[in-house]
Amino acid sequence: MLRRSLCAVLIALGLAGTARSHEGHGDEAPVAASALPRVEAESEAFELVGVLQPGGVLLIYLDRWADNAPVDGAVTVTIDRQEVAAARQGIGILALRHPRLAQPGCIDLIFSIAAGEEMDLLTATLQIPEPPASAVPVHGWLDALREAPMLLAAGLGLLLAGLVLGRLSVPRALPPMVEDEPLVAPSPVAVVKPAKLPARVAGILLLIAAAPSMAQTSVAEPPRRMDDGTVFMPKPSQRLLVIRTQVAAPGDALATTQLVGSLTPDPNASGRVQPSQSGRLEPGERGLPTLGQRVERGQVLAYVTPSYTASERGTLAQNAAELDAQITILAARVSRLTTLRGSVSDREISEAQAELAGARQRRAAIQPALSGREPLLAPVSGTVSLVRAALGQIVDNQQAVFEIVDPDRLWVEALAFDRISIDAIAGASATLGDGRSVELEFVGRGLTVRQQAVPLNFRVVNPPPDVAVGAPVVVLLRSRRQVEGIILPAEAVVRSAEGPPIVFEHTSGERFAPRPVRVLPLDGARVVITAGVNPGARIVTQGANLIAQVR
Amino acid sequence: MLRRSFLATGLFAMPVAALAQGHSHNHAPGPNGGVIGEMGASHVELVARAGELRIYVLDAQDRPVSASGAAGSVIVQAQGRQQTVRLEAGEGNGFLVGRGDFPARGLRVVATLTLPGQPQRSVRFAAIP
Repeated sequence: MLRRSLCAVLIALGLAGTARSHEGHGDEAPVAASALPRVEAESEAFELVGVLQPGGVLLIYLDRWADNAPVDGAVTVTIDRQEVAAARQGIGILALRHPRLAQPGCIDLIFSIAAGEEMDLLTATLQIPEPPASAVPVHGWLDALREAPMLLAAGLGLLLAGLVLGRLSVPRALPPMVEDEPLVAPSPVAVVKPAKLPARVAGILLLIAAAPSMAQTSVAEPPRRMDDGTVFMPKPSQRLLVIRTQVAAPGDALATTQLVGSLTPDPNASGRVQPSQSGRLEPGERGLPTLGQRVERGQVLAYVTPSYTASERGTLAQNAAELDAQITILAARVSRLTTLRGSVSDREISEAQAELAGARQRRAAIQPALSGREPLLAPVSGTVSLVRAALGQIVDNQQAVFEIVDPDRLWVEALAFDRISIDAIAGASATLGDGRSVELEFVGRGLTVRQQAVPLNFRVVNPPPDVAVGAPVVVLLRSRRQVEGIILPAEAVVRSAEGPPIVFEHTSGERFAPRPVRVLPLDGARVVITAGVNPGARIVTQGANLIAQVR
Repeated sequence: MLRRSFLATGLFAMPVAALAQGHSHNHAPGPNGGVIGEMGASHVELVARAGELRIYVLDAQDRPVSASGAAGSVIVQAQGRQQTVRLEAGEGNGFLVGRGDFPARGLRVVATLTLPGQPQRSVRFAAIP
């Protein structure tokens, strides 16, 4: 069965192949002569690109001129004094059908655009190339049959041989081991066969029928880098990669300096939980705290039962026993003296009472050492950020069992390697590892040099809830010095293959030209371009790294 | 087979982009104080008044020349409305004139002109604010 289906597929492929090659010769040649004829027009508001598809359909892509976003508008085209409305295919995609588009020559097109309140008129000239002379002889499969009958015969012979071989090597049913069992196995096969065969034939027919129609769909043009270094990116690719641009406008920005830093907890809003003596860890009322748990100041997180050596414990027990005995004697004495009040002096009685009270206090003082435990309290309210605890674990004194951080109060500690006068700091921001930017507030600087650098402290104004203490950040210090340039999003600048930073300028509808630029960081999300871009140019702000990858 | 050949054509055949005509160059005002439009190599000038549009044909030095033999029409967008106006010869064949119901400001104009000895061309004028 498998073999037979394989045969069917082979035959189908062969048929489809011939059908496609036969069909393909018709519409393949014009594309080879020149890629799809296209037309571009732009105004201050709109950018329009029309691509003439092989079937004589002009696909119109309508975008905003400034930011390259598709515009959902209506387009009416005047061809030869005839007004034809283009059919909407999607947002910013329209299809124009006109018999004139199938004839070669030069057509003047007037596009009348209406998008909401906005209207515009654009003109363009579409050059439709002559279809190449049909000098190429049609080389069908019948010619192949005529030219190489030996090859075909040999192929058919091999196919037949394979079929015969397959038929011969079909495993035959073994003679039944049990005589009286009726054979049920063949019947499902017999039922399945007629059901599956028409489906398979239908599938093959569909494949053959679909092959030429697939050839008629719009041609996918790959983006490519031209010889002059610019990138040709057809509109469908631009739509797919969501390429957006921004008109370069000069502006002023504060000069910035970059520092390397890391997130630290606010010393007044973070704390460590350490036992004062070594002992065995026991859970609090609600068990040991877990990572990320919110705890309040003064909450008992765990208990530490002090642990002693045998001799220490012996000494303690001995002291306790001695004190207990002393208390018994003193209590008896006090009671005896009080019964003799009148015959003994009051001074004696009060002395005995004071001695008893002192002995009881000493006994009470060593009681916690014998049976008491030390509660571990949360020093601040916050989130548990470190847990080094296991039930029954012996913890040393001065070992941090828990660390608590208030996630709303984080600082950044940065190291400044060059002299930065604090007066010149106009503001600061930090870029997190994932590219997010947070605003900082300068707190102070240390006077002691550490690692050849001066530590600076900043308060994070609105810390994101998911940042980690200790994470490295890049601190951008804004000085009061102004720089002039074009402010763009940071992702507009990409590294070229040669190394220097570049931006891509959207020079015409489907062209992007790399422009080497001089860049200064502005904050985490923006950069300022001080040279390399002219004001008014459309610079790619989204998808520039994807354009840079086009080879 | 077909897909591969398309890929090959896409790779080897340089997509020929037709020249963008609609791009608005900043021309100085014309000799009659109007907007200059490019029509192939030559220039034409549009002077807009309320209800009247005049199109002057200019020579290589941007001087007005006779408009005799020239013909065409203009498409005017104004106040959210689009209309097509036929152009007639103005007085003394000095210009082409089209009359319609439109203001002097806020116009977008495209003219379709046939100059003597030249094929019909479309010309877009920069928007009149």
